[in-house]
Amino acid sequence: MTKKNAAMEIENLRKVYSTKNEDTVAIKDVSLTIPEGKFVSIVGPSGCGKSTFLHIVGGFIEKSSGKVKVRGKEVEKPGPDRGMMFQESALFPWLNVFDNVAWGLDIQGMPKKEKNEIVERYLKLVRLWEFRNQLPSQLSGGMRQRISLARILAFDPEVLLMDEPFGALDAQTREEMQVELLRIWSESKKSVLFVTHDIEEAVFLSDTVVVFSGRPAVISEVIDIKFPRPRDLNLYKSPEFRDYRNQIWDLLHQEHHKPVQIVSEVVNG
Amino acid sequence: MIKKIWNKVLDYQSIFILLIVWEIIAALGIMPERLFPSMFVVIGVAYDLALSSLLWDNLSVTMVRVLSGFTIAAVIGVPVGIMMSRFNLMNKLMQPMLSIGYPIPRVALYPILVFMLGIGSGSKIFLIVLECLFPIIINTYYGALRVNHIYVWASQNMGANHLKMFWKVLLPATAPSIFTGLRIALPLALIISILTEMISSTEGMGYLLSFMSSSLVQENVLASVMLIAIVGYLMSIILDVIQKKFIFWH
Repeated sequence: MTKKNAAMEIENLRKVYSTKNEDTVAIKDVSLTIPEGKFVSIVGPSGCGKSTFLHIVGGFIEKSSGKVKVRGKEVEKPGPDRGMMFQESALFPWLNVFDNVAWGLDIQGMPKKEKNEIVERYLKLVRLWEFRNQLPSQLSGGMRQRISLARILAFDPEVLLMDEPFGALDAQTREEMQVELLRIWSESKKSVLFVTHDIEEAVFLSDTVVVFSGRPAVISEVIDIKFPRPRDLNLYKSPEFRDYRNQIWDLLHQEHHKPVQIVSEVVNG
Repeated sequence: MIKKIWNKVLDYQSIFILLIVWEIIAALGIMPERLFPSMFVVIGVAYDLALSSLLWDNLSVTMVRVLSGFTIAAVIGVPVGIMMSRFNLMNKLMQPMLSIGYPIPRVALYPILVFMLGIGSGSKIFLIVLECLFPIIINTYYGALRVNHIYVWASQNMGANHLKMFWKVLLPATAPSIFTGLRIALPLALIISILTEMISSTEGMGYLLSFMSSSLVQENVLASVMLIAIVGYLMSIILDVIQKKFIFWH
Protein backbone atom coordinates (compact mmCIF):
# COMPACT_ATOMS: atom_id res chain seq x y z
CA MET A 1 0.00 0.00 0.00
CA THR A 2 2.30 2.67 -1.29
CA LYS A 3 1.07 6.14 -0.48
CA LYS A 4 1.12 8.83 -3.07
CA ASN A 5 3.88 11.40 -2.70
CA ALA A 6 5.79 9.38 -0.13
CA ALA A 7 9.56 9.46 -0.67
CA MET A 8 10.29 7.04 2.12
CA GLU A 9 7.98 4.77 4.06
CA ILE A 10 9.05 2.88 7.13
CA GLU A 11 6.54 0.48 8.64
CA ASN A 12 6.88 -1.24 12.01
CA LEU A 13 10.65 -1.26 11.77
CA ARG A 14 12.30 -3.33 14.46
CA LYS A 15 15.95 -4.00 15.11
CA VAL A 16 17.03 -6.58 17.66
CA TYR A 17 20.65 -7.33 18.51
CA SER A 18 20.94 -10.92 19.69
CA THR A 19 23.76 -12.20 21.83
CA LYS A 20 24.03 -15.59 23.51
CA ASN A 21 22.37 -14.48 26.71
CA GLU A 22 19.88 -11.82 25.72
CA ASP A 23 18.16 -9.93 22.97
CA THR A 24 18.50 -6.16 22.97
CA VAL A 25 15.79 -4.25 21.17
CA ALA A 26 17.43 -1.21 19.56
CA ILE A 27 14.47 -0.02 17.51
CA LYS A 28 10.94 -0.95 18.48
CA ASP A 29 8.29 -0.93 15.78
CA VAL A 30 8.89 2.54 14.39
CA SER A 31 6.69 3.76 11.55
CA LEU A 32 7.46 6.94 9.68
CA THR A 33 6.55 8.41 6.31
CA ILE A 34 8.69 11.08 4.68
CA PRO A 35 6.73 13.02 2.06
CA GLU A 36 8.28 13.86 -1.29
CA GLY A 37 10.50 16.94 -1.26
CA LYS A 38 10.47 17.40 2.51
CA PHE A 39 13.31 17.82 4.93
CA VAL A 40 12.73 15.59 7.95
CA SER A 41 15.10 15.38 10.91
CA ILE A 42 15.36 12.80 13.63
CA VAL A 43 16.66 14.03 16.98
CA GLY A 44 17.28 11.90 20.01
CA PRO A 45 19.73 11.27 22.79
CA SER A 46 22.98 9.61 21.75
CA GLY A 47 22.73 5.85 21.61
CA CYS A 48 18.96 5.94 21.09
CA GLY A 49 19.22 4.10 17.80
CA LYS A 50 18.61 7.01 15.44
CA SER A 51 21.79 6.32 13.46
CA THR A 52 20.95 2.62 13.31
CA PHE A 53 17.54 3.61 11.97
CA LEU A 54 19.16 5.63 9.20
CA HIS A 55 21.69 2.89 8.40
CA ILE A 56 18.82 0.45 7.96
CA VAL A 57 17.08 2.83 5.55
CA GLY A 58 20.42 3.09 3.74
CA GLY A 59 20.56 -0.70 3.51
CA PHE A 60 23.87 -0.93 5.37
CA ILE A 61 22.44 -2.80 8.36
CA GLU A 62 19.84 -5.54 8.19
CA LYS A 63 16.52 -4.96 9.89
CA SER A 64 14.93 -7.57 12.12
CA SER A 65 11.38 -7.00 10.91
CA GLY A 66 9.21 -4.38 9.30
CA LYS A 67 9.27 -2.67 5.94
CA VAL A 68 11.44 0.06 4.45
CA LYS A 69 10.42 1.47 1.10
CA VAL A 70 12.02 4.25 -0.91
CA ARG A 71 9.70 5.57 -3.59
CA GLY A 72 7.68 2.39 -3.30
CA LYS A 73 10.70 0.12 -3.74
CA GLU A 74 11.64 -2.17 -0.88
CA VAL A 75 15.16 -1.57 0.48
CA GLU A 76 17.35 -4.67 0.68
CA LYS A 77 20.90 -3.47 0.21
CA PRO A 78 22.80 -0.20 -0.24
CA GLY A 79 22.30 1.49 -3.58
CA PRO A 80 22.71 4.76 -5.43
CA ASP A 81 18.99 5.56 -5.14
CA ARG A 82 19.76 6.70 -1.57
CA GLY A 83 22.66 9.13 -1.16
CA MET A 84 24.21 8.62 2.24
CA MET A 85 26.32 11.22 4.01
CA PHE A 86 28.29 10.19 7.09
CA GLN A 87 29.51 12.06 10.15
CA GLU A 88 33.15 11.52 9.25
CA SER A 89 34.40 12.15 5.77
CA ALA A 90 33.96 9.09 3.60
CA LEU A 91 36.03 10.66 0.84
CA PHE A 92 38.78 8.35 -0.39
CA PRO A 93 42.08 9.80 0.85
CA TRP A 94 44.02 8.39 -2.14
CA LEU A 95 41.96 10.33 -4.70
CA ASN A 96 41.84 14.05 -5.31
CA VAL A 97 38.63 16.04 -4.94
CA PHE A 98 37.66 15.72 -8.59
CA ASP A 99 38.14 11.95 -8.72
CA ASN A 100 36.26 11.53 -5.46
CA VAL A 101 33.23 13.32 -6.84
CA ALA A 102 33.55 11.43 -10.12
CA TRP A 103 33.81 8.03 -8.38
CA GLY A 104 30.14 7.12 -8.40
CA LEU A 105 29.87 8.11 -12.07
CA ASP A 106 33.07 6.27 -13.01
CA ILE A 107 31.87 2.92 -11.73
CA GLN A 108 28.61 3.37 -13.60
CA GLY A 109 30.77 3.66 -16.71
CA MET A 110 29.57 7.14 -17.62
CA PRO A 111 31.30 8.69 -20.68
CA LYS A 112 34.11 11.05 -19.76
CA LYS A 113 32.62 14.23 -21.21
CA GLU A 114 29.28 13.85 -19.46
CA LYS A 115 31.04 12.87 -16.23
CA ASN A 116 33.30 15.90 -16.29
CA GLU A 117 30.34 18.21 -16.82
CA ILE A 118 28.47 16.76 -13.84
CA VAL A 119 31.49 16.88 -11.54
CA GLU A 120 32.12 20.49 -12.52
CA ARG A 121 28.48 21.42 -11.94
CA TYR A 122 28.35 19.99 -8.41
CA LEU A 123 31.81 21.17 -7.35
CA LYS A 124 30.72 24.63 -8.42
CA LEU A 125 27.43 24.20 -6.56
CA VAL A 126 29.34 23.60 -3.32
CA ARG A 127 31.79 26.39 -4.34
CA LEU A 128 34.90 24.22 -4.27
CA TRP A 129 35.65 23.83 -7.97
CA GLU A 130 39.04 25.51 -7.57
CA PHE A 131 40.06 22.84 -5.06
CA ARG A 132 39.47 19.97 -7.50
CA ASN A 133 43.13 18.90 -7.66
CA GLN A 134 43.69 18.83 -3.89
CA LEU A 135 43.67 15.72 -1.74
CA PRO A 136 40.94 15.50 0.95
CA SER A 137 43.61 15.64 3.66
CA GLN A 138 44.58 19.12 2.46
CA LEU A 139 41.09 20.51 3.15
CA SER A 140 39.20 21.53 6.28
CA GLY A 141 36.46 19.38 7.82
CA GLY A 142 33.75 21.69 6.51
CA MET A 143 35.14 21.62 2.97
CA ARG A 144 35.38 17.85 3.08
CA GLN A 145 31.71 17.57 4.00
CA ARG A 146 30.74 19.94 1.18
CA ILE A 147 32.66 17.70 -1.23
CA SER A 148 30.94 14.64 0.26
CA LEU A 149 27.63 16.33 -0.50
CA ALA A 150 28.76 17.11 -4.06
CA ARG A 151 29.81 13.48 -4.53
CA ILE A 152 26.39 12.26 -3.43
CA LEU A 153 24.44 14.77 -5.51
CA ALA A 154 26.59 13.89 -8.55
CA PHE A 155 25.16 10.37 -8.81
CA ASP A 156 21.67 11.83 -8.50
CA PRO A 157 20.05 9.74 -5.76
CA GLU A 158 16.28 9.84 -5.26
CA VAL A 159 16.58 10.70 -1.57
CA LEU A 160 19.31 11.94 0.77
CA LEU A 161 20.19 10.30 4.07
CA MET A 162 22.41 12.30 6.41
CA ASP A 163 23.93 10.86 9.55
CA GLU A 164 25.03 13.80 11.71
CA PRO A 165 27.03 15.18 8.78
CA PHE A 166 28.09 18.29 10.68
CA GLY A 167 28.57 16.58 14.04
CA ALA A 168 32.35 16.71 13.87
CA LEU A 169 32.54 20.40 12.93
CA ASP A 170 32.97 23.41 15.21
CA ALA A 171 29.89 25.48 16.04
CA GLN A 172 30.53 28.29 13.58
CA THR A 173 31.41 26.04 10.66
CA ARG A 174 28.34 23.97 11.47
CA GLU A 175 26.07 27.01 11.13
CA GLU A 176 27.71 27.95 7.81
CA MET A 177 27.19 24.39 6.63
CA GLN A 178 23.52 24.48 7.60
CA VAL A 179 22.98 27.58 5.46
CA GLU A 180 24.95 25.96 2.61
CA LEU A 181 22.92 22.78 2.89
CA LEU A 182 19.61 24.68 2.72
CA ARG A 183 20.82 26.63 -0.31
CA ILE A 184 21.90 23.46 -2.12
CA TRP A 185 18.83 21.54 -1.01
CA SER A 186 16.50 24.27 -2.26
CA GLU A 187 18.01 23.76 -5.73
CA SER A 188 17.74 19.99 -5.76
CA LYS A 189 14.54 19.60 -3.71
CA LYS A 190 15.32 16.00 -2.86
CA SER A 191 13.67 14.48 0.17
CA VAL A 192 16.05 14.42 3.12
CA LEU A 193 16.14 12.25 6.21
CA PHE A 194 18.60 13.95 8.53
CA VAL A 195 19.82 12.54 11.85
CA THR A 196 21.29 14.83 14.50
CA HIS A 197 21.60 15.23 18.24
CA ASP A 198 21.60 19.02 17.83
CA ILE A 199 18.04 20.29 18.48
CA GLU A 200 18.66 23.74 17.00
CA GLU A 201 20.15 22.25 13.85
CA ALA A 202 17.06 20.10 13.41
CA VAL A 203 14.65 23.03 13.93
CA PHE A 204 16.61 25.31 11.63
CA LEU A 205 16.81 22.86 8.74
CA SER A 206 13.61 20.85 8.84
CA ASP A 207 10.01 20.86 7.76
CA THR A 208 9.40 18.21 10.38
CA VAL A 209 11.35 17.11 13.43
CA VAL A 210 10.84 13.57 14.68
CA VAL A 211 11.83 13.12 18.32
CA PHE A 212 13.17 9.68 19.19
CA SER A 213 13.43 8.50 22.73
CA GLY A 214 15.52 5.51 23.53
CA ARG A 215 16.30 2.79 24.20
CA PRO A 216 14.75 1.03 22.43
CA ALA A 217 14.07 3.77 19.92
CA VAL A 218 10.44 4.77 19.67
CA ILE A 219 8.99 7.98 18.27
CA SER A 220 7.93 10.21 21.14
CA GLU A 221 6.74 13.18 19.10
CA VAL A 222 6.49 14.55 15.58
CA ILE A 223 6.71 18.32 15.31
CA ASP A 224 6.10 20.37 12.18
CA ILE A 225 8.34 23.41 11.92
CA LYS A 226 6.29 26.15 10.35
CA PHE A 227 8.98 28.64 9.33
CA PRO A 228 8.86 29.94 5.77
CA ARG A 229 11.76 29.33 3.40
CA PRO A 230 14.35 30.48 2.50
CA ARG A 231 15.64 30.63 6.06
CA ASP A 232 18.74 32.38 7.33
CA LEU A 233 20.73 32.34 10.55
CA ASN A 234 18.67 35.20 12.06
CA LEU A 235 16.01 32.57 12.60
CA TYR A 236 18.08 31.37 15.54
CA LYS A 237 17.23 34.59 17.39
CA SER A 238 13.45 34.49 16.98
CA PRO A 239 11.17 33.65 19.93
CA GLU A 240 9.29 31.01 17.90
CA PHE A 241 12.59 29.25 17.30
CA ARG A 242 13.17 29.24 21.07
CA ASP A 243 9.69 27.77 21.58
CA TYR A 244 10.35 24.88 19.20
CA ARG A 245 13.73 24.32 20.74
CA ASN A 246 12.34 24.28 24.29
CA GLN A 247 9.51 21.97 23.34
CA ILE A 248 11.94 19.42 21.90
CA TRP A 249 14.38 19.95 24.76
CA ASP A 250 11.62 19.10 27.24
CA LEU A 251 10.73 15.97 25.28
CA LEU A 252 14.34 14.79 25.27
CA HIS A 253 14.77 15.43 28.98
CA GLN A 254 11.73 13.44 30.05
CA GLU A 255 13.90 10.41 29.47
CA HIS A 256 13.59 9.09 33.02
CA HIS A 257 9.83 8.97 32.66
CA LYS A 258 8.87 6.04 30.54
CA PRO A 259 7.91 7.60 27.23
CA VAL A 260 4.49 6.83 25.82
CA GLN A 261 4.98 4.92 22.64
CA ILE A 262 3.33 6.70 19.77
CA VAL A 263 3.53 5.04 16.43
CA SER A 264 3.30 8.06 14.27
CA GLU A 265 3.39 9.20 10.72
CA VAL A 266 4.52 12.42 9.24
CA VAL A 267 1.84 13.61 6.91
CA ASN A 268 2.22 17.00 5.43
CA GLY A 269 -0.32 19.02 3.48
CA MET B 1 78.42 18.25 -0.61
CA ILE B 2 80.92 17.04 1.98
CA LYS B 3 78.31 17.56 4.65
CA LYS B 4 75.85 15.50 2.61
CA ILE B 5 78.29 12.61 2.32
CA TRP B 6 79.09 12.87 6.01
CA ASN B 7 75.37 12.68 6.85
CA LYS B 8 75.04 9.55 4.72
CA VAL B 9 78.00 8.04 6.59
CA LEU B 10 76.28 8.88 9.87
CA ASP B 11 73.13 7.09 8.67
CA TYR B 12 75.16 3.91 8.35
CA GLN B 13 77.54 4.46 11.23
CA SER B 14 76.75 1.11 12.82
CA ILE B 15 77.95 -0.64 9.65
CA PHE B 16 81.18 1.38 9.65
CA ILE B 17 81.76 0.62 13.33
CA LEU B 18 81.30 -3.10 12.58
CA LEU B 19 83.80 -2.88 9.73
CA ILE B 20 86.32 -1.07 11.95
CA VAL B 21 85.97 -3.68 14.70
CA TRP B 22 86.43 -6.39 12.07
CA GLU B 23 89.57 -4.68 10.79
CA ILE B 24 91.02 -4.37 14.29
CA ILE B 25 90.48 -8.07 14.96
CA ALA B 26 91.98 -8.96 11.59
CA ALA B 27 94.98 -6.67 12.21
CA LEU B 28 95.58 -8.09 15.69
CA GLY B 29 96.02 -11.51 14.11
CA ILE B 30 93.92 -13.31 16.74
CA MET B 31 92.69 -15.61 14.03
CA PRO B 32 94.65 -16.91 11.06
CA GLU B 33 94.40 -14.63 8.08
CA ARG B 34 92.99 -17.41 5.95
CA LEU B 35 89.95 -17.69 8.23
CA PHE B 36 89.60 -14.00 9.08
CA PRO B 37 90.70 -11.88 6.13
CA SER B 38 90.90 -8.10 6.19
CA MET B 39 87.83 -6.30 4.81
CA PHE B 40 90.07 -4.56 2.28
CA VAL B 41 90.94 -7.93 0.82
CA VAL B 42 87.27 -8.94 0.81
CA ILE B 43 86.22 -5.71 -0.89
CA GLY B 44 88.94 -6.23 -3.48
CA VAL B 45 87.69 -9.73 -4.24
CA ALA B 46 84.10 -8.48 -4.36
CA TYR B 47 85.16 -5.80 -6.84
CA ASP B 48 86.85 -8.36 -9.09
CA LEU B 49 83.83 -10.61 -8.77
CA ALA B 50 81.47 -7.78 -9.67
CA LEU B 51 83.34 -7.36 -12.94
CA SER B 52 83.22 -11.05 -13.79
CA SER B 53 80.57 -12.93 -15.75
CA LEU B 54 80.69 -15.55 -13.01
CA LEU B 55 78.75 -13.19 -10.73
CA TRP B 56 76.30 -11.84 -13.30
CA ASP B 57 75.41 -15.25 -14.76
CA ASN B 58 74.61 -16.65 -11.33
CA LEU B 59 73.00 -13.47 -10.04
CA SER B 60 70.61 -13.28 -12.97
CA VAL B 61 69.51 -16.89 -12.42
CA THR B 62 68.81 -16.14 -8.75
CA MET B 63 67.02 -12.87 -9.48
CA VAL B 64 64.67 -14.52 -11.97
CA ARG B 65 63.72 -17.07 -9.29
CA VAL B 66 63.36 -14.43 -6.56
CA LEU B 67 61.25 -12.04 -8.62
CA SER B 68 58.98 -14.69 -10.14
CA GLY B 69 58.37 -16.35 -6.76
CA PHE B 70 57.81 -13.01 -5.06
CA THR B 71 55.45 -11.78 -7.79
CA ILE B 72 53.38 -14.98 -7.81
CA ALA B 73 53.10 -14.82 -4.01
CA ALA B 74 51.94 -11.18 -4.16
CA VAL B 75 49.40 -11.87 -6.91
CA ILE B 76 47.92 -14.75 -4.89
CA GLY B 77 48.45 -13.43 -1.37
CA VAL B 78 46.95 -9.95 -1.66
CA PRO B 79 43.52 -11.03 -3.00
CA VAL B 80 43.42 -13.94 -0.53
CA GLY B 81 44.19 -11.63 2.40
CA ILE B 82 41.55 -9.11 1.33
CA MET B 83 38.95 -11.81 0.67
CA MET B 84 39.61 -13.27 4.12
CA SER B 85 38.63 -9.94 5.64
CA ARG B 86 35.41 -9.78 3.62
CA PHE B 87 34.15 -13.36 3.42
CA ASN B 88 33.73 -15.49 6.49
CA LEU B 89 34.07 -18.73 4.54
CA MET B 90 37.42 -17.68 3.10
CA ASN B 91 38.62 -16.73 6.55
CA LYS B 92 37.48 -20.04 8.00
CA LEU B 93 39.31 -21.96 5.27
CA MET B 94 42.54 -19.99 5.49
CA GLN B 95 43.03 -19.43 9.22
CA PRO B 96 43.91 -23.06 10.13
CA MET B 97 46.32 -23.29 7.20
CA LEU B 98 48.04 -20.10 8.28
CA SER B 99 48.32 -20.95 11.95
CA ILE B 100 49.47 -24.52 11.36
CA GLY B 101 51.59 -23.77 8.32
CA TYR B 102 53.40 -20.76 9.75
CA PRO B 103 55.61 -22.55 12.30
CA ILE B 104 56.52 -25.36 9.89
CA PRO B 105 60.07 -24.97 8.54
CA ARG B 106 58.92 -24.93 4.94
CA VAL B 107 62.46 -25.38 3.68
CA ALA B 108 62.23 -28.91 5.08
CA LEU B 109 59.74 -29.62 2.30
CA TYR B 110 62.36 -28.81 -0.31
CA PRO B 111 63.64 -32.37 -0.85
CA ILE B 112 60.06 -33.51 -1.50
CA LEU B 113 59.51 -30.61 -3.88
CA VAL B 114 62.66 -31.57 -5.78
CA PHE B 115 61.18 -35.02 -6.36
CA MET B 116 57.91 -33.51 -7.53
CA LEU B 117 59.11 -30.53 -9.55
CA GLY B 118 62.70 -31.38 -10.37
CA ILE B 119 66.00 -29.85 -9.40
CA GLY B 120 65.63 -26.77 -11.61
CA SER B 121 63.86 -23.47 -11.00
CA GLY B 122 60.36 -24.96 -10.51
CA SER B 123 60.88 -26.39 -7.05
CA LYS B 124 62.81 -23.32 -5.90
CA ILE B 125 60.19 -20.85 -7.11
CA PHE B 126 57.47 -22.97 -5.52
CA LEU B 127 59.21 -22.82 -2.15
CA ILE B 128 59.74 -19.05 -2.47
CA VAL B 129 56.02 -18.62 -3.19
CA LEU B 130 55.15 -20.75 -0.17
CA GLU B 131 57.47 -18.77 2.07
CA CYS B 132 56.37 -15.32 0.85
CA LEU B 133 52.65 -16.09 1.03
CA PHE B 134 52.62 -16.05 4.83
CA PRO B 135 53.79 -12.49 5.51
CA ILE B 136 51.85 -11.16 2.52
CA ILE B 137 48.53 -12.82 3.41
CA ILE B 138 48.78 -12.07 7.12
CA ASN B 139 49.68 -8.40 6.71
CA THR B 140 47.10 -7.86 3.98
CA TYR B 141 44.41 -9.56 6.05
CA TYR B 142 44.98 -7.51 9.20
CA GLY B 143 45.34 -4.34 7.15
CA ALA B 144 42.08 -5.02 5.30
CA LEU B 145 40.31 -5.65 8.62
CA ARG B 146 41.33 -2.17 9.75
CA VAL B 147 39.98 -0.41 6.65
CA ASN B 148 37.38 2.09 7.84
CA HIS B 149 34.00 0.50 7.07
CA ILE B 150 32.78 3.91 6.01
CA TYR B 151 34.80 3.61 2.75
CA VAL B 152 33.14 0.28 2.06
CA TRP B 153 29.70 1.70 2.82
CA ALA B 154 30.31 4.76 0.68
CA SER B 155 31.34 2.59 -2.28
CA GLN B 156 28.29 0.35 -1.83
CA ASN B 157 26.19 3.48 -1.63
CA MET B 158 27.51 4.51 -5.04
CA GLY B 159 26.62 1.09 -6.45
CA ALA B 160 30.00 -0.66 -6.46
CA ASN B 161 30.00 -4.44 -6.86
CA HIS B 162 32.54 -6.74 -5.18
CA LEU B 163 35.06 -6.47 -7.99
CA LYS B 164 34.97 -2.66 -8.19
CA MET B 165 35.14 -2.43 -4.42
CA PHE B 166 38.23 -4.66 -4.44
CA TRP B 167 40.12 -2.70 -7.08
CA LYS B 168 39.03 0.81 -6.22
CA VAL B 169 38.54 0.78 -2.46
CA LEU B 170 39.96 -2.19 -0.58
CA LEU B 171 43.20 -2.43 -2.55
CA PRO B 172 44.23 1.24 -2.18
CA ALA B 173 42.93 1.42 1.39
CA THR B 174 44.94 -1.66 2.35
CA ALA B 175 48.04 -0.66 0.37
CA PRO B 176 50.11 0.49 3.39
CA SER B 177 49.72 -2.92 5.08
CA ILE B 178 50.27 -4.76 1.81
CA PHE B 179 53.62 -3.04 1.46
CA THR B 180 54.53 -4.05 5.00
CA GLY B 181 53.95 -7.65 3.95
CA LEU B 182 55.91 -7.26 0.72
CA ARG B 183 58.76 -5.65 2.63
CA ILE B 184 59.03 -8.74 4.85
CA ALA B 185 58.58 -11.16 1.94
CA LEU B 186 61.18 -9.76 -0.46
CA PRO B 187 64.31 -10.60 1.57
CA LEU B 188 62.74 -13.96 2.42
CA ALA B 189 62.49 -14.69 -1.30
CA LEU B 190 66.19 -13.94 -1.71
CA ILE B 191 67.16 -16.06 1.29
CA ILE B 192 65.07 -19.06 0.21
CA SER B 193 66.40 -18.88 -3.33
CA ILE B 194 70.01 -18.90 -2.15
CA LEU B 195 69.32 -21.58 0.45
CA THR B 196 67.78 -23.97 -2.08
CA GLU B 197 70.56 -23.25 -4.53
CA MET B 198 73.08 -24.16 -1.85
CA ILE B 199 71.28 -27.46 -1.28
CA SER B 200 71.10 -28.48 -4.90
CA SER B 201 71.88 -26.50 -7.98
CA THR B 202 74.40 -25.92 -10.68
CA GLU B 203 73.73 -22.23 -10.99
CA GLY B 204 72.63 -19.24 -8.93
CA MET B 205 74.15 -17.23 -6.11
CA GLY B 206 73.63 -20.11 -3.66
CA TYR B 207 75.55 -22.41 -5.94
CA LEU B 208 78.32 -19.83 -6.23
CA LEU B 209 78.46 -19.54 -2.43
CA SER B 210 78.69 -23.28 -1.79
CA PHE B 211 81.20 -23.66 -4.62
CA MET B 212 83.41 -21.02 -3.03
CA SER B 213 82.95 -22.43 0.47
CA SER B 214 84.13 -25.79 -0.68
CA SER B 215 87.35 -24.24 -1.95
CA LEU B 216 87.86 -22.88 1.57
CA VAL B 217 88.89 -19.42 0.42
CA GLN B 218 87.12 -17.26 3.00
CA GLU B 219 87.50 -13.93 1.23
CA ASN B 220 85.64 -15.32 -1.78
CA VAL B 221 82.74 -16.46 0.42
CA LEU B 222 82.65 -13.17 2.32
CA ALA B 223 82.80 -11.21 -0.93
CA SER B 224 79.83 -13.15 -2.30
CA VAL B 225 77.85 -12.55 0.90
CA MET B 226 78.73 -8.87 0.67
CA LEU B 227 77.44 -8.71 -2.91
CA ILE B 228 74.24 -10.52 -1.93
CA ALA B 229 73.72 -8.01 0.88
CA ILE B 230 74.12 -5.16 -1.60
CA VAL B 231 71.63 -6.77 -3.99
CA GLY B 232 69.11 -7.27 -1.16
CA TYR B 233 69.57 -3.69 -0.04
CA LEU B 234 69.03 -2.35 -3.56
CA MET B 235 65.84 -4.41 -3.89
CA SER B 236 64.44 -2.90 -0.71
CA ILE B 237 65.28 0.59 -1.95
CA ILE B 238 63.40 -0.10 -5.19
CA LEU B 239 60.43 -1.33 -3.16
CA ASP B 240 60.64 1.89 -1.12
CA VAL B 241 60.44 3.99 -4.26
CA ILE B 242 57.44 2.02 -5.54
CA GLN B 243 55.72 2.34 -2.16
CA LYS B 244 56.19 6.12 -2.03
CA LYS B 245 54.75 6.39 -5.53
CA PHE B 246 51.65 4.36 -4.63
CA ILE B 247 50.98 5.64 -1.13
CA PHE B 248 51.63 9.34 -1.64
CA TRP B 249 48.45 10.11 0.32
CA HIS B 250 49.44 8.31 3.47
